[in-house]
Amino acid sequence: MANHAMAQNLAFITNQLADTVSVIDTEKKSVIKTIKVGIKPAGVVVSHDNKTVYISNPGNQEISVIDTDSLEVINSIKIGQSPLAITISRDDKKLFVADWYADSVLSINTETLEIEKQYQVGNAPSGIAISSDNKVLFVTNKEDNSLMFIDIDSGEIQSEIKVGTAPFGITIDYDKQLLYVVNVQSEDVSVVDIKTAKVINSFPVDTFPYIVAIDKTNNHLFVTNKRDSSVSVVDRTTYKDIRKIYVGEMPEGINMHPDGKSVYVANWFDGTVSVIDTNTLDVTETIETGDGSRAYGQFIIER
Amino acid sequence: MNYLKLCLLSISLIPALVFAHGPTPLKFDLEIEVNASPDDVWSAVNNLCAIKDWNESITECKSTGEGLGAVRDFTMDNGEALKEEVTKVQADRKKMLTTLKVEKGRVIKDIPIMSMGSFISVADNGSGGSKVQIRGTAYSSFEGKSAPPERSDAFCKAAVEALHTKTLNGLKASFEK
Repeated sequence: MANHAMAQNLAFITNQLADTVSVIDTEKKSVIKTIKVGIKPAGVVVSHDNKTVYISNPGNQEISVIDTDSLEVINSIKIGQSPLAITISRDDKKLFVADWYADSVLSINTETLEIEKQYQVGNAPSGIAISSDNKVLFVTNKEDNSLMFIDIDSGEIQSEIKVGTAPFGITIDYDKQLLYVVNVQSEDVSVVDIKTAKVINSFPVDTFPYIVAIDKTNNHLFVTNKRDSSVSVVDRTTYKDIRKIYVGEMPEGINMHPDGKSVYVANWFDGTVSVIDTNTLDVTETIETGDGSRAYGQFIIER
Repeated sequence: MNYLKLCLLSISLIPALVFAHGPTPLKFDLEIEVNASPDDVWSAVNNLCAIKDWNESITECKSTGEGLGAVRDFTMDNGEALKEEVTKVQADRKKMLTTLKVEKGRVIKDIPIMSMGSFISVADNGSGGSKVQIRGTAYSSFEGKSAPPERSDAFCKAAVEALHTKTLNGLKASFEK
């Protein structure tokens, strides 16, 4: 029996308008399976042990649990009103899901699949991330233009800081202990120092930006610009603009491939994934996935 | 000083509730061929209130400004007054984005959307004419988990498509009379 998790790197692309997840074999650059999930799948996170993928389905308020070996949905969890952003603790024990309409974040025990805790956050939580020590949850509140730091154990809000207008994706730079918060309406990225909880810099990108991916090898940041159908490439130290790469229409989710050689971008409007070479900064492949490819979160099995 | 800072911080954190929307947009993708050069069609599209001549559902239109930041205020035949702003222009690609936003809580009759981003683009169709596309995203005004049919994504999508189809048909007719 094929063991997908051990043999290949796989990308799990949520197709919001097709109610499916496309599984891409990143060696073959092709879809090897299309998995039916819930309704309007959007968010995705892969467990650190590479065994499980969790998909948020805001359309029918559930999380689909996919086994990366069988590539089947092995469980589903009913949750909240509109689960969107999703992440997992570094030890894989807790799943965190932002509930857009309920203004809350729910934590789920990954063993029992039961909801353990509800954190009240701001208006329209849009992005979430977790500190490297598993102690702090970072949440963007889109309609409050803010970023919250929440103590995971006590549920206490440690700080709430203003970022740009309509913040969405959060990406953690673990090496630098920085957060990159992408602001959809002010069309920029806020650089937040985790230790001091302060915005230490910001840089402009293009229309309706969504989320950042980090290329450590070339010291670049990649930012999807949904309504420019492009990806901005920015220097990770100086935040100077390096290049704009046109991809498919309305790109959203973006991940570095674990090999460091390419970046995968999900194009919502086209239902495709663009693969960008991180050295040449050219699009080398376009892979057909499904309508409304969104892939919001960590979607490539890392090894 | 600290008090002032606190006040400023509080003010800055007041929620901008006015134009909120949901987490999942709907998609529209419409296209028509027009027997006129892309330059001529692009020029016509840049007259923001030409939609009043093209689209029988639009009874009044007034525009202010030109290019990026220009606004059109238009009225539908059902009495609804709407405002669209030009939020992106890529003249080299003959592509323009107009953004429509509706105040939170308001439900537009017949087109119950909360916001819409519409790209209109003009390209060479390969045989001397133009291919005009209106493509984009919209959000239903319904917030919550189960929208009634008359405010569902499917309803909104059909309504938006009907509106844009009338515009495209009228645009075509204006060049091919």
